[in-house]
Amino acid sequence: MTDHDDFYAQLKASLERRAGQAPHTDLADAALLQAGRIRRRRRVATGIATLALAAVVVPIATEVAQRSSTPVGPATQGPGTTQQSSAEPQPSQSAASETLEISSRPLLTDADVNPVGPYSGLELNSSQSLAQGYEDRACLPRLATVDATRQQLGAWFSAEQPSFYEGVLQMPSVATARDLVDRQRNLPERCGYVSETHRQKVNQPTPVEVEGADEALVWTVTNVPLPSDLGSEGSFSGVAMARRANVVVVVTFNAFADPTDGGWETYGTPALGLALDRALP
Amino acid sequence: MSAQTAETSTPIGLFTMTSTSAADTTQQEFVEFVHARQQTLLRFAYLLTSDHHTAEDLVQTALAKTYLSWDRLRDRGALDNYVRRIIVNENTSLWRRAWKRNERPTEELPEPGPRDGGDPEGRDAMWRVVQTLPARQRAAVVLRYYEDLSEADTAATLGCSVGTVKSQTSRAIAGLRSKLATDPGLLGGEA
Repeated sequence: MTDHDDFYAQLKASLERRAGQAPHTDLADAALLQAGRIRRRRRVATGIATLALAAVVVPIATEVAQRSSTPVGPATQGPGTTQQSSAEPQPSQSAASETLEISSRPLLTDADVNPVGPYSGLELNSSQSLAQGYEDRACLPRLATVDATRQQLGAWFSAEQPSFYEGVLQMPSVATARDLVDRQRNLPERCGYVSETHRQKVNQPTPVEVEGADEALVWTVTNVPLPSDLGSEGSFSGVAMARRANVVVVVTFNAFADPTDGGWETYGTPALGLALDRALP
Repeated sequence: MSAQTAETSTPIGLFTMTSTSAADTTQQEFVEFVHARQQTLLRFAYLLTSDHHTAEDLVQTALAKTYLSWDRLRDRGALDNYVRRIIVNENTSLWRRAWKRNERPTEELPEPGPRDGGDPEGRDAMWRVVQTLPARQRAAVVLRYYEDLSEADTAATLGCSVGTVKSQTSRAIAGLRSKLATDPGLLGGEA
């Protein structure tokens, strides 16, 4: 047996030995109880939103209210701002009963965002603009121009290079929200501007389970300098998108390098869960 | 009381109130699956966490989420992988919460302490260094070398590409070798 074989044999033996020390517990009843708790939480959240809509507005009034709903903040474009859509489909009665409204303060907090791996000090800053083409390079639609009924965008910056970007979009209907997510399922091989001295890699979206979400995707885009481009920095964009009913939440992190070492999902998935919690009342 | 309207006395009845025969069937299938696979899943979770309570919590949560998706999971043959994937994600979420509390993984080996169940041959050395691996690398190692999954199945479980599995595994093995090499006595030398 070679050293190589011996190493793997010892690794396997070690894992098998430890696995034998795993707990012996019957989890069936406990899992069913927990499933009940999760389901109740989801029903309560959905029920409150649905009841609020049903009690306050009749279908026609809903249309009017949605058309005239005021944005969460000042109606200017860019990070940390909100925007009202100029065009939106007419929601049907059934669609109206299924739609949710985003909360009054739907964005993550600084404490939620920090740290991202070794990066910290990220602060929400509405006066600073994202780099040009930021969303393009992350294979995202330009969120400020998406036809949302209400939306809020936020960008976090730190003294270091990294940035964090979040979009909370209240789409006019479940169908339009679903369509927004569906358009991201198959990304192009190239996104945004890529320097001739860099090689871009678009890692196609992976569906993930996010508590409270109907569907969720995570993906990454990396730009790596070619060997000839000495001294140049690469870049990493990690993106995560979740939808619940008609509400879509997007979080994006950009830095020179991937702080999750190939495991963007490990950050994106819980971040999405938290973002959805904040986004919905 | 007919089977069609029988109220279930199990915890699920707390939120379904009255279960139909279809719900009973779903629950029965689920309970059978849990009884058949829970020990395997607990071993997997324990290898990821080194902690009995955390392993139980992970598997319980993964099973609860699986139950909620049960009717959508048509490929019963893929159930194990589905649950494993939730376990990995939940575990990395736990890892991230610890991360946010600044309980960051350390390169330092944990203090040896008394070995569980006695290990006069010192074979725990491998386990001790496995525990220092980052969560994703550790998951890749457990899936590849304990569960004997292929790279493709490991990628499907981790929700990443085969290339990522290769790089994660390669880094993990290099890390294990490096740590063991710094103290050759760790690996089988204490016998």
